[in-house]
Amino acid sequence: MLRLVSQNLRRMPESSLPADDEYALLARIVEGDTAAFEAFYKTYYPRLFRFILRMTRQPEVVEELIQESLLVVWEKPENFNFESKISTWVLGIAYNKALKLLSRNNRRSQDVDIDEWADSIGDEAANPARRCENMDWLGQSLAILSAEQRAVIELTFHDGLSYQDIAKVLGCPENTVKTRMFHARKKLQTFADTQEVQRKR
Amino acid sequence: MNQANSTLSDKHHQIMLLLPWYLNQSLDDAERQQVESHLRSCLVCAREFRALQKLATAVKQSSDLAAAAESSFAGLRGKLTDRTTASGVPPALAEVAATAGHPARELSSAGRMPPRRVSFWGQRALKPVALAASLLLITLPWAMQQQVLPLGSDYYTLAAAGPAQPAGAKLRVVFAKTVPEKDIDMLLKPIAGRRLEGPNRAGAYTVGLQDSQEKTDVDAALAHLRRQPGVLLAEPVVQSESP
Repeated sequence: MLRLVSQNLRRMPESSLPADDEYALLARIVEGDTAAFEAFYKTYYPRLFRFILRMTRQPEVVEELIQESLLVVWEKPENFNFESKISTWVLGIAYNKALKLLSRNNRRSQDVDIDEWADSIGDEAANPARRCENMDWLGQSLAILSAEQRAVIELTFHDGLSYQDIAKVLGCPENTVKTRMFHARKKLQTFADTQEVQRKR
Repeated sequence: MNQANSTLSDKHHQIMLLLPWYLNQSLDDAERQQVESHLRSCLVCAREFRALQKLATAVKQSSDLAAAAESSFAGLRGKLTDRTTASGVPPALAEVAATAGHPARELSSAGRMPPRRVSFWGQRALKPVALAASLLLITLPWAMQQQVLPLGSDYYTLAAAGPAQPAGAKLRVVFAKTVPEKDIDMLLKPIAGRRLEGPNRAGAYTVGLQDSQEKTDVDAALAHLRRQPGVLLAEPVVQSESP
């Protein structure tokens, strides 16, 4: 089923603004301009959605974490220190909030049975997180990784960040980023080999 | 011999660690060349690279989230209203204003920099702005004495013409909502600026400066704009070099 659904995913370029425009929006947000915040919110929503869902594998928390993360931008734009890209700052906020939530729920690194929370989130069609996760055949493989490893994979291959920028987002040394990716790859390879053996039986 | 093997193994491992970022093209030139050179002779890394390509392709799959973003913000809008004062100023600013004994709106309309804005500029641009402002103070009277072009002209340079510099420098400028459309050109006049485009969806205008601007002129223009209460952001437009 998971292989089938990937064919249904529609490739959509996620909205993004040139860096200059992001600074322009942030300047207006500092002034309390809600229209600017709305544009900023809609720009970052798809990216954070993917990132948080990939990292937490808990669709029911994605919306809440996106709103909490972006509200920080609205309420404390002065916290941006200009030492990184705006996207690095925003992803870092989301990463820390997601980690805190996972820690609170004591569900880190656990595989989640989608059916387990099906009742709690209602209609699949109305819930993009549920729909996306169900359709994501990769999700099953990534479930064996830790949240931190999934974050590195997402930021590398979807967001195209350098390992230096990822280290800033995650607040860890650059070597840690590299080794997280390395060990994640090892786990994925082992998982894929096991699946292959089972498939042939 | 063992030491040589160990060194090779270490290098192989270091290269393998870099492969994901070679794939996403974010390595610097030196690292990229190391990886390329190694890939030509290492079958293990070449195989790993192909596996990473498949993983990257899968991860890049995206879904349609535009509609979700729309409804999500609609849900958040209520919270924003709750957290915002009647003046539309975020609570952090309102609190600072209240502490100072002024309604937040008065702070803005009086042309004073709101506290949040001071912080915005203060962290990144205070030193460059101070430097640029100093340059402006130094160069402007001199330029005026030279009467390069008469005051009041639509086109004049801030300093005497120097060697050809970035021709047609452009700035990205965001004006406060309180600045009427008709006043924008007046704000740009002292720097011989002209609106070229905008506002874009981020509310930014592209402003062209007169040709053959010195870099110091651009800095001075930026400093001038940043001192205007009606200007929220002024940044140079970085133009990519033509191949």
